[in-house]
Amino acid sequence: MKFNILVTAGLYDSQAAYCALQFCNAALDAGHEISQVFFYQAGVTIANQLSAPWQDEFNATDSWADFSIRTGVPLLVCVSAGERRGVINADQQAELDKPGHNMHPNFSVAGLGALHDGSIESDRTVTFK
Amino acid sequence: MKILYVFSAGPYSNARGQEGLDAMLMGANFDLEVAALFLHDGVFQLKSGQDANGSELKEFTKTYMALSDFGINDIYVHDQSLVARGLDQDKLMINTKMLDGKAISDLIKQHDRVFVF
Repeated sequence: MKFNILVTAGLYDSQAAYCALQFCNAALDAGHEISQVFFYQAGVTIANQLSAPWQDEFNATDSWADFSIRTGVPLLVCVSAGERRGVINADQQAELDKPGHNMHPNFSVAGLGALHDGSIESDRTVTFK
Repeated sequence: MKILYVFSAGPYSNARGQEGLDAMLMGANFDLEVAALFLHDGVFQLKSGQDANGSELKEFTKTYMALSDFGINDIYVHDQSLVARGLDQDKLMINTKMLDGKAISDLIKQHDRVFVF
C-alpha cells in the first residue's frame, strides 16, 4: 500500500511528529511505500533547523532529515503555513526581505496542491495531528 | 474520487479551521468530489452572527457562506455536537445535513480520502 503522510502538529509540544516517523519506518519495513510527508499547520515548525532540544531528547528535525536521506521520501513544507510561522528557506528570505532563513536543507517548500497530488496518487492519507 | 475534510476545532482559538478551509478550497480546484464534515467544537466554525471586529483576528469564516461558489455543496454536521453546545441548524450560517454518529461512520467509509483538521 502507498501512504501519503500529513503532519499538522508542531515541534516539541506534540508527540505527532515522533508517531508519524515511527509509522513511516514501520510501513516501509512492512514493504509499503510512502509517497511523501507533508508538513502543514503547526507541523511546519518541524523543518526549523534552529531547533536545539537537549541531547537526550528526540530531535524531530534531524530525525526526519535522516529518514529522508535514508529512504528518499520527500519532506514537503507548506509554503503559506511556513511563512505564517517563520519557517522559510533562502529563496523566501530574499523574496520576503527577512533577516534570516531556517528551513533544514532536506525539507523543501510546496503548495497545498502537492498535498492533494500526493493524496490522489496514494492509497491512503494518514494524518498525525 | 471523493474527498472529505473534517473540521473538529472551533474558529479563532487556533488555525486548524482556517488552514483546513484553505486546504479544502484547494481540493475544490481538483477534479474531486469535495465534502465537509463539522463535528465536536468544529460546529462553532459555522455559527452565524460571528463578529471579529474589535479583535485583530480575520473573520475567515465568512468564506463558508461562499462554499457553493466553489462547488462544495455536501456539508455535514454531527447532530449531537450541535446539541451539546446549545446550537441547532437555525443558528448556523449555511444549510447543512445533520448526521448521527452511525451516519458519520458511513460517510467516512464512502469517501476515498479523509483529511482531519
